[in-house]
Amino acid sequence: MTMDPFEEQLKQALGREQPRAGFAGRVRARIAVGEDRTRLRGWLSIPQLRWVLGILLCVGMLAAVSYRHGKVEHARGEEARQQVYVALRLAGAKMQLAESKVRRFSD
Amino acid sequence: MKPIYSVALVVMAASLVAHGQKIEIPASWDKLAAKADEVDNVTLDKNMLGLAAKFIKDDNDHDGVEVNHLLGKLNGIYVRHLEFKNPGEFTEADVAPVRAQLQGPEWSHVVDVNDKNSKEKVVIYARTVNGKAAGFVILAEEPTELTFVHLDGSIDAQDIDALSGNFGIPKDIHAPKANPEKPNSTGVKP
Repeated sequence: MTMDPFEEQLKQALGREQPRAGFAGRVRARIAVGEDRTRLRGWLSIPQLRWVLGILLCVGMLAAVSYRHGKVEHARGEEARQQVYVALRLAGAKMQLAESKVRRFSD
Repeated sequence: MKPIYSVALVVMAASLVAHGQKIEIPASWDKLAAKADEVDNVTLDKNMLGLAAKFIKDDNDHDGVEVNHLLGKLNGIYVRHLEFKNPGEFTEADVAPVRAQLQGPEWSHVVDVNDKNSKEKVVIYARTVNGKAAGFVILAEEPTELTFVHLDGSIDAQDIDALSGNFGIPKDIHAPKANPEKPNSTGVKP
């Protein structure tokens, strides 16, 4: 029994085709990724956890800003301290100069 | 001028006086600084002095306590120090504008030393406002150095004495008290 061209095309289209090598492994890998994503979405769907994560993020950002501000203040304070000592040393040196002259002139 | 503006101006002027007097350093000093070998420029207002005091307190030593006691009385510390390699880099014209600001009834010379041989001149001015100490200015001219130190605030001789022996301040120095009625009382002019 001969098939007409339409039947021939239909048979080819519906015929069983072997998958390419490694197909099963790829499918299993995709399923695993999908499960991980679903698990993460599952955790984030808990409102309390979302709040906790948000608060933790804010606290972290505040801590970073505060740390940075502290470092800048520390540098300014150290510089101010050094400047005070420079000023006192210079004042002392010039007072000493004046005092030595006064002593010399009065002797 | 409307009376309200006059009152506002008087209040502003009074508050400026209450907060101390800033001595303007002439622009020529900036040009000199460019030629100088060593430059020290200190500008510390009340806020910065407070910040410095916190750090000095952390030092936990006796000097720190004395320095902080002094800083607590100050409104500001202003220093300009120029050191040159060769003599003759600055002239009287550079110093005169500073000296001109240290005239007037509030200022008195407590020490005035002019050594013509070594060409060293040191003048210590004290400021008194309403009979109360309001700061010191040290203006020192040496052949290769020009120094201006302004300790602005209600410090007196005892505060300076407390620091003697430290920072190069002579151990047995007794800075004379400023006396507005009797300026130049301790001045020495050879």
